[in-house]
Amino acid sequence: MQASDSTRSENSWRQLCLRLAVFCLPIVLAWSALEYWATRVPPNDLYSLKHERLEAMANEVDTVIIGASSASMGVAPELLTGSAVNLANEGEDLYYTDALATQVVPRLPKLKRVIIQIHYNCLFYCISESDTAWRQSYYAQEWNIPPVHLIDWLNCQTWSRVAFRTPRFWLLNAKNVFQDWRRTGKFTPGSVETNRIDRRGREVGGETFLRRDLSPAGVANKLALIHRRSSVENERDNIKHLDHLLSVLREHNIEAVLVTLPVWHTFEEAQKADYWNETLKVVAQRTNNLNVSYYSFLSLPQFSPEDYADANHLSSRGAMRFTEMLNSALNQGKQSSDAKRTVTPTNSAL
Amino acid sequence: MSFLSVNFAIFLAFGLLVFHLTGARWRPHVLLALSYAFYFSWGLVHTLLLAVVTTGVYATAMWIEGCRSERRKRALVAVAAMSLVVLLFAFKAGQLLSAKFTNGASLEGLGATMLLVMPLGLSYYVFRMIGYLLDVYWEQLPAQHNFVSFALYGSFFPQIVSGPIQRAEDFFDQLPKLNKPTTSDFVVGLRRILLGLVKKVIIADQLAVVAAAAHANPSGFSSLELLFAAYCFAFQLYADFSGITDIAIGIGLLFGVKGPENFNLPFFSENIQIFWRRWHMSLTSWLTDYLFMPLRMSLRQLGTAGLCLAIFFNMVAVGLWHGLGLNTLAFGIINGLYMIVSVLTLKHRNEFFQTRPNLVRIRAVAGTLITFHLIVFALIVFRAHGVRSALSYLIRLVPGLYPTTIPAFRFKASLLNIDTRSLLGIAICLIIAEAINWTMQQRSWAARFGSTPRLVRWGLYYASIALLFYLYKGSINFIYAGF
Repeated sequence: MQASDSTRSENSWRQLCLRLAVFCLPIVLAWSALEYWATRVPPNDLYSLKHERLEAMANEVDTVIIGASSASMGVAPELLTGSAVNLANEGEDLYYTDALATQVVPRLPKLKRVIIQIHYNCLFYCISESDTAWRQSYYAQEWNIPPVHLIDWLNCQTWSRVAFRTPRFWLLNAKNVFQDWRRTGKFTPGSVETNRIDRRGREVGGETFLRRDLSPAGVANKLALIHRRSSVENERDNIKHLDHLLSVLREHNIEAVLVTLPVWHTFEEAQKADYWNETLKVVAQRTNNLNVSYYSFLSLPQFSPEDYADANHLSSRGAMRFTEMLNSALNQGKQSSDAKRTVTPTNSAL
Repeated sequence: MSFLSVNFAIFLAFGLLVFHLTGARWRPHVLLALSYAFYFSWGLVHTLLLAVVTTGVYATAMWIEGCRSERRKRALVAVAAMSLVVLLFAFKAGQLLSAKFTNGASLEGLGATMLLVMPLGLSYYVFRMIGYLLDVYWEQLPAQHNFVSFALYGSFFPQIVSGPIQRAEDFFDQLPKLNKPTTSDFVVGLRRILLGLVKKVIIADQLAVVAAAAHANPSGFSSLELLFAAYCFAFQLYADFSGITDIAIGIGLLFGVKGPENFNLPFFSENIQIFWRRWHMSLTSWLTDYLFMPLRMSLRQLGTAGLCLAIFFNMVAVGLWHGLGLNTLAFGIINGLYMIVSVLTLKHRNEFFQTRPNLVRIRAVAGTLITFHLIVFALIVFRAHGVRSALSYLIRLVPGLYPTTIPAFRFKASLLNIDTRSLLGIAICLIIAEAINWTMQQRSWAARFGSTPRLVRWGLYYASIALLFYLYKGSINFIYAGF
């Protein structure tokens, strides 16, 4: 009797499993179709657009700007001598800066110079340890850069484009493409946020989406967030990434220029001295030993609040003014000597 | 790992596979490992806290059971229960402070700030633990000697995020069922999960924008729009919370554990007492047993005043359970006052309507409408960013009370970030979801649904899943996962 009960139960489980498999099949197929679609159509976000810009200019680029959001918004490549592209990304840490540069440098035949942003918490910030860890998926999917920790592969958003951006995103994307195709007869990817990136990869319009609160209280809130995302435990790894990046550039005979972008004076005054002094010490060691130049524009008294989108990001106007200064500093450096320059972390580059 | 993520779907599928392939003896161990793995995905520090609390309560309960001196027993249970309450309130206060002083500039690293963040589901597992300790102390339940079973009770992953608060006895009674889960439980569980997802994604998340817009800037809206937004928030909260409860119960059923129901058509309650017996039932019944009844007994010599005090403290506890903000306190006080008025007048109202039988139907309809509006009013205070903004909202709700150039009866859905077509769709889904909730209680209807052609049932499921895919906007949190 017990044996027949257990057989009946086993049969009913087997039937249920079969029914479930049949039920799930169309869902799995639909998901796979979306996943396939997602590999064919660029999502047109900041990361993929920057990638696109770089690919379009790969054969002419001689300068690449890398770093975090303040470099992404604050350096206007078209104002630099030669042909430059801005590859800096929001919330990027030195692991990804290193990985990104290591990947693109060999693919750019005319590359002569890489401008690397040095910002307040660059030695202490690590994406994978912060609340911005989700950004790792962009690098994994757009640049095939693996996440720092192997366990992050367990997060399906790292490898599934549909899971990362939701099925809705791709369905709307497909709808846009279909509508474009009906209207123009051409197969073009749906456009999202294209107006946030200029032709050379600079992120524009920071002043419209960042909150310009330059008061000490506003800056204290901003710094609190930065501190929450920072830890001295990350310093050793970040120095390792920076050194690796510099060695890769040296191997390819490419000039490495470390640059600190301007911040509003309340931000500079509220920075933790020990963080910043430690950063400057590490930078100074590299500039002395590794033949690297460093330009600090941390405090620019001639900049007004209109030059800032917020306390540590430049507005479009600020980006133009700053890039002109940077360009002239870089050109002066080149004229004065072929040897690499070190500029003390003040305003002496001007 | 949110219930509403692909990661969780994969985790659940993997967990089910391992659970059903494991021998009966090891299933509680597997479930415990899954529960801790799930909790670990939210952070190591909080997982350690859960383990420490579980071990502490397990040992204390054993100690209480083995103790012969009544006085020592009482001291033990008092210290343990107070420690848990202090732990809960310390984190709630920490949450309040960290929200108030967000800068916390001296704090470095995410790990440091995590210490101030409320551990996921703390309110739920602390209440479960206190209930268990009191049950053991009152000798209504023997202490659980099997540590795995007890740890599983404390951490059972479907219920740890946002309840329901299952009683220890009920949970332990079901553990033998882990050996033989049935296919019918499994199917019902899957249906409940789908229903919960529909409520959350199609109703709650779509309505969330309305309340968010109105509460962000009440001065930009007419009285009618604010009233409409207040209704929307009531439905949003209901769909959100009952949605996650459905998902929790559904997942529990996949593993053979039935959780308690949390809602029973609360917006159809004829008075406020019935409402609180049908809304967040597992919390209110817990508070009734472990707070209200002991309070009532100790205050009985005060007569009606004692009853009112017990009701009042009970409802204030309901409010504070949601957080230590002034608005949650006000929410508790408002409901306490509602309850006291309702309890004190119930007898007279019953007498009045007994002599007027032709008014009984009107009473049912009017009572339901009045109760609903009382709750909507209290939820405005609950949802507001603070007492001041709640007052600002409430003042503007009454036409003519506050000088404004906006016509009181203007209604532009677009200002509330929603269009009328979506509203219609949401209303239809809400009615369907409530109808399903009702039919679940009627066995004949449930059986009738089970016997409809598979094509119809599967068509309904596929349509729901397609809608979920289309409307899902990313991993949005459940409101009640924050408590």
